[in-house]
Amino acid sequence: MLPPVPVSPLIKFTRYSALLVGMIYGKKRYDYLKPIAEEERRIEAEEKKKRDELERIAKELAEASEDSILK
Amino acid sequence: ALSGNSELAASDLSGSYKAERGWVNCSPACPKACPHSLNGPRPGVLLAPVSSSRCSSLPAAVTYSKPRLATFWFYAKVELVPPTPAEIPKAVESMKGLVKSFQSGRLSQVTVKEALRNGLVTTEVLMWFYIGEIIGKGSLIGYNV
Repeated sequence: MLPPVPVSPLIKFTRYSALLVGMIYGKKRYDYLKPIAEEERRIEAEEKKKRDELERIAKELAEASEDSILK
Repeated sequence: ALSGNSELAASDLSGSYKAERGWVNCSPACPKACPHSLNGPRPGVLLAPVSSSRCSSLPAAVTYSKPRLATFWFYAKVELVPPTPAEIPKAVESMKGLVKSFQSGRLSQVTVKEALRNGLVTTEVLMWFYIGEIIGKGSLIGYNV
């Protein structure tokens, strides 16, 4: 086997600082995006509730005004 | 033994030919997962040379990855270690040197080979950033928010 190459300190240093910066960046960005996504989910759920309610009313109205003897 | 039809090919060969090449009989004592066949040992079937160390009862995944991991660690211990505190000033020095050579117009004298190599090194360092991001965000693909 070939002997290992001594890696330049600059490369080692930049490698590990990039790793560290990446970790911090990932954490920061995650913490920034998380509440936004939660808010979106909440709004979505509210809207769905409203939509379902309207649909239910429409259905009931349609059923009531239906001319049918099969009731 | 060189082709897929090992049984046919090997049985046609003379004993001395096999002996010269160090071919071995896959004995029943040999492994659960003999490296030669997918269905375990086949007694009496002649195969290409194998050292006895390969004839172990370990699973194929272990026998495959063990020497490769050993090689990886052999190099990683030297090449992938984090910089020691003593090396940081050296790194800063060479960073300064890089800036200085950039200012003095070294960039116009860089050979294609050098540029390519340095580009690869820079890309590698950049990939470390993305590894860090994956660790930081806690998921492999995208932000699982």
